[in-house]
Amino acid sequence: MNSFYMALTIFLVLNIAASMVRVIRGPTPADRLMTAQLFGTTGMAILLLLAEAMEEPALRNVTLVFAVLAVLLVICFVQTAESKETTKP
Amino acid sequence: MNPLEHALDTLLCLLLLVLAWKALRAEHLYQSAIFFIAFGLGMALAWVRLAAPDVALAEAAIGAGLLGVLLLDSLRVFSRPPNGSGKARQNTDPGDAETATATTSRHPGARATRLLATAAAAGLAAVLVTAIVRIGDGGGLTEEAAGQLEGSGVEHPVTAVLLNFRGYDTWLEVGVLFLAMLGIYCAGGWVGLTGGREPDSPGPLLSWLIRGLTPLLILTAAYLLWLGKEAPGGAFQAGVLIGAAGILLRLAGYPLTAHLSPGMVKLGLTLGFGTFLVFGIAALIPGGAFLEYPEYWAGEIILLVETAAAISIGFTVFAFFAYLSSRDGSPSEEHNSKPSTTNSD
Amino acid sequence: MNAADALTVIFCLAGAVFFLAGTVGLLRFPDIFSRLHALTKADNLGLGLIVIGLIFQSDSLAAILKLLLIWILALAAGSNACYAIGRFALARSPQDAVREDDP
Repeated sequence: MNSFYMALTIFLVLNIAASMVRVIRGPTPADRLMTAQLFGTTGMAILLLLAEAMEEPALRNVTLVFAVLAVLLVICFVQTAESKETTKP
Repeated sequence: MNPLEHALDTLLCLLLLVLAWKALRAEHLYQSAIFFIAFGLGMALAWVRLAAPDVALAEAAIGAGLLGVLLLDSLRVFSRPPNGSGKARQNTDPGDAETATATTSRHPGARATRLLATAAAAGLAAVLVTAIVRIGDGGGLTEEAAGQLEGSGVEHPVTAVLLNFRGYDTWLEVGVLFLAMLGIYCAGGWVGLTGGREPDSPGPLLSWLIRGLTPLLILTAAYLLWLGKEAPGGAFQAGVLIGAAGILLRLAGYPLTAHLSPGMVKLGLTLGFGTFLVFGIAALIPGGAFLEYPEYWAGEIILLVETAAAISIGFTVFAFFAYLSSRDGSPSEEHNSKPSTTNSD
Repeated sequence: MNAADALTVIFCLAGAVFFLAGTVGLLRFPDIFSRLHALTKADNLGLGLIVIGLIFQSDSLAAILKLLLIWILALAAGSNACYAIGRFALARSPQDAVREDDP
């Protein structure tokens, strides 16, 4: 089972590496932000798999921290961009 | 260690190098910020692979969660297109940091700065490599720390080292944060903390989410704080989550600290440093050393100090963000609006 | 390999497929709204299926609940992020929302 988790983790890391292309290409900030969102979710999956593979339950807490903070970046981006637009017509 | 684990570690190392390189050499600052956020995630995974879940937890909270917010907001505030707004309007997303290109290369002193930075980085790398070679496997004070764990008041060795054996370091770390906070205070951050511009209403869906998520953030912070006694967790991670809760509330239009009295905000900011100091001095009274907790009470004292530190770290982290978000984007407007909103106490 | 392991493998592989689909969609889809669509598949189903797969390996109720909590949080974050980014993009560039060949 350990090898299975590791192989899956490698696959997901490769996914992250591939989606970096979208950060470079953009074209809008929202596209880049979406990629960051995908990084986060993929990272959470990797952490859960590693928690099982390395038999380290503390990693689920790391995932939990990622999960509660996942939405912060997007909300910050959207809210500050919107309020800026209204203050600067 | 099987070959797949080697492959994963190698892949992570390569990914980190590429991400770091892209974060430094991206076309736009916004791109750099996203790469840096991804770098934080990669670092968290690297710490996991190095069997350091404590650091991974801190990296997850600070690197991937908080730093991204601070970076994006800094970009909004500080980066304006250098040659007017004409260029910015070409893009379908006007005004975004997208158009702010990295202008450092055109700076006259850039070459010297870069050489200096390279030299410093190379020097640091050399020192770190020497340190790793010298420590070797299982060296250092691991054995000694494990032997003293009994009397430290906690079961988790990392917490024992951070809050008891080397409590001095942690105390000064909280002090560094406090100093950073004072810097922000001098730069006008007090305005952001006690009031400032209120953002737009977030809409029904977002306010529902924020209403659900904020208590959960506080709860997770308390959980991590409590967990620090026996497993990875502790004041810094918990503090960042508390700060994140404040940031979330502010983004939704509930500036929490604006409803507290200035005295309460100041208390929140100084609580951590002060509690360390009080217990450190109290340890002197029975004839002990500074910050040498009595064995019998060590567990309780550590929990108390950590709680206070977490609250202060939360307030400080929130102050960083409040300072940024209280500043308006364009420098010209800022001069006009600054005096009118100043809320000195 | 026992039944629980087999189920774990099946669900985790299915989750990986959705992550791949999300990544490919993010890279290949032509506009921001279809990319959002791809992203949420990875957010919701990719992580969800991996969580379900790992539940079969959990030995305590607390661990199962924590896994489910992580998934629910990711669901809430993902759907809200999708909504927020979608609304943001729509306000910025409405011409992308309606393709030219639509009425």
